Amino acid sequence: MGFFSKVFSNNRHKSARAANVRRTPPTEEKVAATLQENISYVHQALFHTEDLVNRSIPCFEKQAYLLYLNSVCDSDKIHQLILKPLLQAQDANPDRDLTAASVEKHTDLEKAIDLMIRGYAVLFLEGSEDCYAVQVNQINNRAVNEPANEKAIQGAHDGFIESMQVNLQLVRKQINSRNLVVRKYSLGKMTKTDATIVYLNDLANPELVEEIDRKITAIDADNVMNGLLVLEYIENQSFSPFPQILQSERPDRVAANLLEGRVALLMEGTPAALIMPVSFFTFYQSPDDYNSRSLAGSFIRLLRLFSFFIAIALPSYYIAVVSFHYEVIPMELFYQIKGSVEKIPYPPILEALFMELTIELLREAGMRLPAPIGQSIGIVGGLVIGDAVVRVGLVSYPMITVVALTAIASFVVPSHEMSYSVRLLRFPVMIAASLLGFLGICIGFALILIHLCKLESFGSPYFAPASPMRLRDWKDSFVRLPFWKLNERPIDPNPQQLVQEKRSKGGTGDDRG
Amino acid sequence: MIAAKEKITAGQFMIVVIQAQIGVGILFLPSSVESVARNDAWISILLAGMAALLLSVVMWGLNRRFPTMTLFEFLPKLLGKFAGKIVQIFYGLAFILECSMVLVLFTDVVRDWIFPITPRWVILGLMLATALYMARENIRLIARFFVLTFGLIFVLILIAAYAYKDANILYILPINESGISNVLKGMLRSMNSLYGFEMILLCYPYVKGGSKGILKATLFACVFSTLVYSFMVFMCLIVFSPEELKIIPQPVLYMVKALSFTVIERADLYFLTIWTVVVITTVMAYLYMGAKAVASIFGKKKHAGAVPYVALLILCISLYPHDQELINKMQIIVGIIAAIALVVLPFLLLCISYLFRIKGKEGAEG
Repeated sequence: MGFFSKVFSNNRHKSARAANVRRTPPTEEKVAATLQENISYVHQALFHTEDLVNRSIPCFEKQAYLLYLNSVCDSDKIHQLILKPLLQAQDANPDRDLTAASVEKHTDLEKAIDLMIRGYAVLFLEGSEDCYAVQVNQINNRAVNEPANEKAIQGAHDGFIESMQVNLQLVRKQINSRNLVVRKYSLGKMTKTDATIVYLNDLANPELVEEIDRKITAIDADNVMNGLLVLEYIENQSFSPFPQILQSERPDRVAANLLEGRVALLMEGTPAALIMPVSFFTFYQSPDDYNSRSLAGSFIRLLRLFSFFIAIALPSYYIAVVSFHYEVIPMELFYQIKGSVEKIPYPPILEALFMELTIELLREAGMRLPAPIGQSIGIVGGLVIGDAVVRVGLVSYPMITVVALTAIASFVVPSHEMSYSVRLLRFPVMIAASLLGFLGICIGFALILIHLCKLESFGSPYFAPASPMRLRDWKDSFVRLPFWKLNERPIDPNPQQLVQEKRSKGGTGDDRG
Repeated sequence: MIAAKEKITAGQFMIVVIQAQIGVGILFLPSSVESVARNDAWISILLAGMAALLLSVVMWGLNRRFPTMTLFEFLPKLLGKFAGKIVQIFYGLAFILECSMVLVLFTDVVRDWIFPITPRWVILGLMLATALYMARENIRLIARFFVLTFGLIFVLILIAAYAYKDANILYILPINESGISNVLKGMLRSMNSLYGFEMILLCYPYVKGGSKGILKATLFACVFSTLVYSFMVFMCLIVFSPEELKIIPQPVLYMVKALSFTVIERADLYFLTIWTVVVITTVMAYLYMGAKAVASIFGKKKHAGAVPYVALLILCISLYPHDQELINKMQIIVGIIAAIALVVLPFLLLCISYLFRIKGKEGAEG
């Protein structure tokens, strides 16, 4: 048993050997009066790391030293914010002359060291029990560009980047409300990554915020470097094929979801926000629906939802028809299909699996390669293999049509995770169809629907508003009615205020005269 | 007390009852009732619907006296520990047998129409496994699934209604040709398909709102199911001549088989596929009730643990009848047991409750 518990225990760091190695730093250490003592303490605490710089500053009566890690600090900023004002001053006084926006005075050395790691320069004075930490961290952000995987045709073209600060600013820019609250966390015992949850105080359900807070603070891992790691720690069911948290790189999408009473999680180093709780239909909404007119938006959205069914059911329907129920297609079409299927030595399920896996391979290969080669892979794969495979007699023409349609349909989903789950789900349904025809598809779909009904995302039903049924919320899930019709928010995140507008369409009716 | 997370609305409850009622009957009712009541079969169904209304009022009246308890919780109070347990076992048996009956009939149709050589246990196992996945949950989640699949019943009706183009309304004339006694016999036969309102005995405390709402929901459900059934029977009666109806076992399927919608042929296969979901919901409902019964027999509060065992038992029972004769015999036995459990016992229990003035605690609204 001991062996098994060792193999299956998910916390391998608990073993006794690892525990001995770890040095637990003291929680607090006062700044000592002598300068030398402080400097040597810092050096020891950082294990004499070689990017630690100590520079003496000659402008005080007493000796003074500036300590910083040159790998994370910007030397221009050190010059501008610390050295220049101090050296130019008549009798330098750090309380007055340090002009940086973020100057912190600390008496605790441990805290000062933690700040140094994050890009602060710390000034120590001989005989002083305070030290001054000045934020001079190096910032190299990329530009706020449109995210490559969430393009919108109309509307805003800005996207999140790897800096949480910038991302927060992008969200704030969308919602100028004093109710927008930011809560900070530091995740990962070793990585100490900054994370924030953002929500609207007067909308988001306090129980929801509390639950998310509980789940985030419960994370007890060494490494929580990016948001996608957090996602698995806080989602309800990791083994469900459906994603329960929406990732978005678009500030406008995040803002729209915050305004529905949802909560977003932003992390340093992750160019995406995690939005929770979400329902199945959130994954089928795209900013384009809201940026185009209502009829067009509704049409596109229905098309997307229809693509969900095509992507899962079409190959299995074809397999079921060819293997069991050839009677259900009209006679003329039947002869056509029969003509090409007859020459294939394999059962339809093998054909389908072969073709589906080929497409997945092509997709993966195209993604890994640089863009110009990726395109040629697409041509080689799509055209050459597609044609050759039929001539060789491995796969029939109708199957190619079906698989190609399925592949296109599975890429229609505006969210990558949902696209993955759709592509995964069609394999079991295909196998069920090859074993039991329509009955197999029916049972497969019943199981998927049952799962969707059972699934919850942070306490709110995942398949809302289809189940539990709330027709009022269909206005913004299956279709998108004009904004003046959307008087209430969706109920699934349980917002504090359900009504989002009263009669907003003024000037209709008899104002012509 | 029952947590708010497990409560359902009256509307959801109505659909739960409908889904429990409408099941295999859609295919079997027309021929089985027609064989006794001839062209007056539709009257039999309407009469059976009225009987169902009456019975559901009785059950509602019984459970209204114990508004915070389910049947299995108030049985010991009503009858004492020992007799209560026996009646509990009887109810458990009735639910399990009804569920098995549904599955036996379903497997029969599937083997007749789609997969003649597939072993029975494969079909039964798949159906039960699907039902098991849902029936483990509380009534609220089950109700959500039932609401989601409720629309499929309308699809069935639409497909069947398309057959109206082949109808000849004269086939049902003259009305009351077969005589009252045969109509009543037909009514007894169709009662089996309308069972499902016994859900009220197990769901009563879970439904939000007053007892009036629950009664209304049950009555609506009974009326709806009766109308659906009588529509199906009526369609069969006017599409097929009496001579044809004598020969064919599932007239509804033959009726839709002849339809052709340019894009798709053989609507009966689609009909069967959709009907499968409708049957699964019935199986789920009975599996849930059976598991509740078994759990309470063993003194457990949660029914989830009992579901797999009940499903296994149902599988064993439904594998037993392998020819038509045994199925007919089983149908009669299940009919009698169900009649005792759902007609006689509720009356008796209601009388006992009134005579000995046994009531549940007040407090929850009556």
